[in-house]
Amino acid sequence: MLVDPKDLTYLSQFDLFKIIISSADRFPGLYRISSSWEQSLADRKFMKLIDFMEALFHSEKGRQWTKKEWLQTHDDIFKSAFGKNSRNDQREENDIKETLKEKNYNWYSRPNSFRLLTIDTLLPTLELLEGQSYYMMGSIIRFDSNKVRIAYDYYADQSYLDLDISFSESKKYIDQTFSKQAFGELFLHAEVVGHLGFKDDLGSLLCTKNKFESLFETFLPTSHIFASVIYPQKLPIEYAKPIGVSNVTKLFA
Amino acid sequence: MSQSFLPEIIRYDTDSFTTPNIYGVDQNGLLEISCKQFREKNKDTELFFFVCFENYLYFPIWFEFRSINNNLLYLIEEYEINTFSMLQKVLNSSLKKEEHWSVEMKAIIYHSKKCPTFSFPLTDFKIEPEFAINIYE
Repeated sequence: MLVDPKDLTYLSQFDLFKIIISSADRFPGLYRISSSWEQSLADRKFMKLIDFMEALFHSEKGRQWTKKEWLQTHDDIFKSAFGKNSRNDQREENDIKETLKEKNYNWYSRPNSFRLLTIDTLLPTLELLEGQSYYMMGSIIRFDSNKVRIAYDYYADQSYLDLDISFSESKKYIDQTFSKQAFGELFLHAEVVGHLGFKDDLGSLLCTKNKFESLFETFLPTSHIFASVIYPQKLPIEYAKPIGVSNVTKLFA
Repeated sequence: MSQSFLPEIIRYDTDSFTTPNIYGVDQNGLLEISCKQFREKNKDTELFFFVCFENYLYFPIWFEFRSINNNLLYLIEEYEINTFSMLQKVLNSSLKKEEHWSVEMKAIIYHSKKCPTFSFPLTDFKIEPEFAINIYE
């Protein structure tokens, strides 16, 4: 089909919304929850929502952990993704192998500010609910009564972009384009629980207590915690490659 | 504005999992878009869509989500891959590893008269002339 590039340059809010939702896909190169990701989540060294609460309790009493400790689980992910016999090692081009290895390491190890997200991978999502956020294709999308918020951060109440689309319009389009089963697989309940900032290599948790506690009404305590880097300019997709967070209270008591 | 592009980019049917790919530009500057269920090597070229407005390069949010080469901002902004030559090298390396084939990758630069809606202003990214297909509004 022939398309005028002008049509793709000046999109309306509702067309952009439908395009974003249309991106939800099970195709392996697009789908964001790989089987290896699920396997690694079974490991107790990954932080869960209930562990985050414990870490918050200890941090209020002055306990801090180093960046190396918070990101130790991701160091393991990095080694399996970029070490000997890894997927990266299967590339033909040695220069690309080395470049990607170095860039990936710098990507997660250098920054000093992270967003912490919980994703409920255990309870299936049955239908779209107003006032809830969903992990879809690596982005967090919130559906409010009169707004759809792209890359929503519940803790900071910020988003990359707000679209003036009502909940009923959103629900109508999603119900039209996804069966209940596909919706449950492609839209996972998720919310940013807080931020993690480092100064002099020691991490501080930022969290609003009443907001955090309200999450237990809708999330299982065993929901996993992941991180993304906070950049000066917010990105529309922040968790396509989530950063693993260590269960610091258990690993480094 | 023409709405003829909508069925290629927007889904209307239930569980219709297709993904668009731009594979050509005709003599009138129109984009040739194909929407398939899976990635197939049915063309030798894959094109990426950028917009240039007042000498600033923008990356459309629709392309970030919907293109078969989606989430490119991860490579451009988070990995700081700052040239198109390097970007296409990385993507073709992954394509060879996963699919055992590669394609010629080029960048459409649409020079718009107005600021594009819903586009990400790129921090530091250059498209070398040998990879650019310039289209003017």
